[in-house]
Amino acid sequence: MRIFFYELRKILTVGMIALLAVASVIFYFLFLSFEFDHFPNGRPERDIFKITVEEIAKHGPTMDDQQLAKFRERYDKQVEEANRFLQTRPEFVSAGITTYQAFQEIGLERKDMQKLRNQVIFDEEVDIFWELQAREFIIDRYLNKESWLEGRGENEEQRARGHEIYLSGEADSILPWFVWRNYNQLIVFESILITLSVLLMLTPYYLKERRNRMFDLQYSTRTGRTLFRTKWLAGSTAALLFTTLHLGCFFALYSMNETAPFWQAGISSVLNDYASWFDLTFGAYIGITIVAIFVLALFTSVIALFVSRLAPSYFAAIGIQVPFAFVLWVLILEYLVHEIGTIRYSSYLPTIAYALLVALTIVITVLRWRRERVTDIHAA
Amino acid sequence: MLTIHQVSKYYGNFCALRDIELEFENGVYGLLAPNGAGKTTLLRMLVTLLHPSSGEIRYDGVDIYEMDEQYRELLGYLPQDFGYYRNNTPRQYLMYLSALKGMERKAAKEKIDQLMELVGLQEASDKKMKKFSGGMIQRVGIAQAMLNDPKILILDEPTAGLDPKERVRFRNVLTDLARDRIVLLSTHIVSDVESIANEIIMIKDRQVLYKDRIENICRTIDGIVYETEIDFERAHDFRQRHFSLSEKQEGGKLKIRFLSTEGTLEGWRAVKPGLEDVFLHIYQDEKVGR
Amino acid sequence: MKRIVAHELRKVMMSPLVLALLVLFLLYNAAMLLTGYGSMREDMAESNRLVSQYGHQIDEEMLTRLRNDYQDGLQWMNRLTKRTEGRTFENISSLYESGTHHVEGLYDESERERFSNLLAMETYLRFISNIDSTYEQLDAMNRAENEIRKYRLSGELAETVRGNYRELAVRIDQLITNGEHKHLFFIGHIFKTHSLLFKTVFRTVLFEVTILTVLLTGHLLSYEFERRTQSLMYSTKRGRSLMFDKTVAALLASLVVTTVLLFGTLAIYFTLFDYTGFWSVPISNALQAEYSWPFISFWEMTFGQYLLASVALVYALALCFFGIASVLSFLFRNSYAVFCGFSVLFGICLLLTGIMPHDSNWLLVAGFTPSLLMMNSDLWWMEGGAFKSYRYIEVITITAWAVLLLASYALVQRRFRKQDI
Repeated sequence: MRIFFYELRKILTVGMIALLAVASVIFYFLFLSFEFDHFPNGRPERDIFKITVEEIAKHGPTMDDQQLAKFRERYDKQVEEANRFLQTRPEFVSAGITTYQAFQEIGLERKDMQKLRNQVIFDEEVDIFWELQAREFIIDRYLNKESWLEGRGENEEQRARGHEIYLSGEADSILPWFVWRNYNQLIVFESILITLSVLLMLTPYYLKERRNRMFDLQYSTRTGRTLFRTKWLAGSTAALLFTTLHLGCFFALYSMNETAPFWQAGISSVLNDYASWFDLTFGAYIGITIVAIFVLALFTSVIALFVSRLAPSYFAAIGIQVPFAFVLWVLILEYLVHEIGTIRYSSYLPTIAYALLVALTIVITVLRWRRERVTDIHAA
Repeated sequence: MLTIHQVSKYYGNFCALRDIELEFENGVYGLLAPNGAGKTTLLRMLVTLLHPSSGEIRYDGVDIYEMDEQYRELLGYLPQDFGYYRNNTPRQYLMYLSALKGMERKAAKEKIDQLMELVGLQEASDKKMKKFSGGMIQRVGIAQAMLNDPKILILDEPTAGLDPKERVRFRNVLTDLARDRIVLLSTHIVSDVESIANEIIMIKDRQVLYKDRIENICRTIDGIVYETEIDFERAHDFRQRHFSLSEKQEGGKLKIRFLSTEGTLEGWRAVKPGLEDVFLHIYQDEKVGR
Repeated sequence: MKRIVAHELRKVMMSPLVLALLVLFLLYNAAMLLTGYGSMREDMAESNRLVSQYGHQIDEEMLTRLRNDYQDGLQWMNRLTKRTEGRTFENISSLYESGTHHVEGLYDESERERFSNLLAMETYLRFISNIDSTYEQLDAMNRAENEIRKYRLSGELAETVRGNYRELAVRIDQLITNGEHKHLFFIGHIFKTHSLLFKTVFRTVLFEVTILTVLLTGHLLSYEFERRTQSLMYSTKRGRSLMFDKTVAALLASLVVTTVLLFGTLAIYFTLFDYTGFWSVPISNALQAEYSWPFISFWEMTFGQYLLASVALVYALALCFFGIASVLSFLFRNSYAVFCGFSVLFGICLLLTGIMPHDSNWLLVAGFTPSLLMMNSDLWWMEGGAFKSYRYIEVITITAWAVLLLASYALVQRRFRKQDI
């Protein structure tokens, strides 16, 4: 245990922590801050967000036919409100537009009336018109959920899954697409940042010992080559520790997007533009991405340790890891973290991919340890 | 007792050591050979960093690789050009190594204080090692090797960088230690071992040539070492005919010590051979610094 | 000294790692260009055919010929379809929309080829017909105001931007008088070749060049320190000037790497995408536009000249990155730290504009960094929004950084000479 902490301290030096902090800050501003600062991004997303949150507060995260009927009643009431608003505005009255329906039907050829309409919607940003638009969107989606869901499939299997989502009521859940996209965008870059940090953190670890010619002394002590195991463990622990802390900070920031009401909602909602092979709530999905990131961090730590042990120089270590990191990040962006379980890819993809990662982690560890136990340690 | 039996070491096709047969009991052993003769390879096998290609090394009858940590627990090792952390103080560095050596924290602290005094670094024990001179670093290395009170102390070129005063102190420490343990030190500096080693091991052509007491080794060239004084003009010719061991300018003449098997001539004095003479005799056909 | 440089150069250029990365990068670039652009390459061949037939300059004479040929083709087509399908089409696009053009047995290979020629003519004629009205409506000052509003600029900064656009207005007038916009090119709205070449390809190559340059510069310059041979090396006859030799070697290696990657990739690009007839087309041509606002270069230049200027800028950026890496090598003496330090600096340079007040010219100045220049590779030498409205950005950025880096290098080199090792 004492040795373990010695080793941990060698990894988490002040300089390293500073480097990781700076990397995080730069990365945050380049790739993450937008999704925090601009969520929900503009109108009508902001209105849809507000309305769906209200709905969930009223009756939970699903919208069945009964709830939809009530929702439409509320819509009708708001239309009347809009009518009253239009009747109080002399410019609309004089143009003969006294109902919301007439307001909506203003044609493209009526340039003067277009101007009036834009004045109310874009310049004055009268809430009611934005909200009505948002409600119309929601009603439209729920009314036509069957076609929406089947339209998402490109082959028989996918269309069948879409139909299943429709039949099982998964589609009734309330999760607007931008809430989903925002999270996926954020978590993808968070996982890239974490894996990058793990590489940065562990690449110098064994290399430094080699540069300091410490192996001779270390491996001829009582602890001997089991130190390699302790080091491996310390490296992985440091990676997981960092991941935990980093995810902690990340979710503290994410909580300010105030998406908690949606955590109970199923992810294959008709309001979303995504369909999953699995019936999961948004909260469970978040949980899965967290587990995925821990696996990725562990896998990356093993790769970094392996390279660090074998590379003859920093130059070689970085050079080898550049292609590795590139491939890893492309996979993260497309398959490993982004929209896990999407029906666009095979339903086996997530399980197989992560089983493979775990297997590789174990195989590399075992093989290296076996080798390390018997390998000749040559003078530097 | 540490025994090396039939040990060979190959690096690919290159043979570094062949059929080494050695036994060590308590006492100081000097491993004497020119650079590149395989000294370091032998020592690295004794500390389990390298594995013999064939043969076995046993401690009290048990294979040292099977003994594993029980064997390494008995070990103190100072590698040639050993590693350290530049930003550590000797105390931090020794604490870290004491953990690796499986020592209790409290016992380690006491031992470190003793050792710092022993190697004369008590003043510097809390200064960062990047400021240290080569000799100071070497003394930290010696302290490190003795940290766990080893039964087997293996020192690869331990006196490198030490000044004459430190060398003397170091030799005395070793003599003291060797009463109840094996001390094996490698060197190519004859004077380092001449005065303290009980036995000398010489390696030539990848094999052990001698393992014997110094007197016995010296006796092998008894009667062929001479001294004489000659004129400088004759020096070149003389060197062609006899293998010169050492030369010194004295009273306008050249005082020369040399090997000859031709019997005593006029003006030659037979002298008692020393270890250095043997060393030069044995390795006379090998290029220096190979 | 030559021998030392050659020795150091060999050390890095013969390293399996550098060679492997070079091959890997080139393979990636080739794969990137080979996948997904098959039909686009065929359509681009049509554009080439048009140019070889009508020349690239769009003038009345050329248009008359094109229109006549198109009308002839249309008549031919309708005679044909009348016979095969029993109906006629208003234009070739409607034939394509109906989908009958590729029904087996209806038309033979040569007829289909002519259809495709005709479609190209029709498409070009449609885009050409919009050019005049588009350029009449190009209002630099209006764009300036839009940009100022978009980025919420104010104060002296807004004034500077307005000033830049006033100059751009002059340039637009000149461009129209020269007729730079009236030339055939690959249609940007369809092919987006400008983005493909100058954004995707150039930026990818730049990233690869940056990674290799920084890696090998850091490696060469900290080599002796990492190997602990510094006391030996820097006490030789050449002594500390060795560091200078190493810098020269790293510089040469960077240039080699840049050349291999850039010219290798461009060779692949121009083999796949045929630009034969377009080298002398002005870069500010109208057809190349990918969005409603066209590409407007600050100077009159042909595509070939523009490409050359951009290639030169790639070299300039590679040298900049080499310079940064070599200065960092003197400071850190460890290639890992150099790589990390460089990445951090690169990132900070990208963020610099984000922390400047929106009413100060410093915001513009903060954009004068090699990293930002690298990210904007598709807008080099061109107007590209509020922060890309000043015509000398590239020249000033490179000059300023060259001076800055040379001074820093002189400083660290001098310090190194006096330093204890």
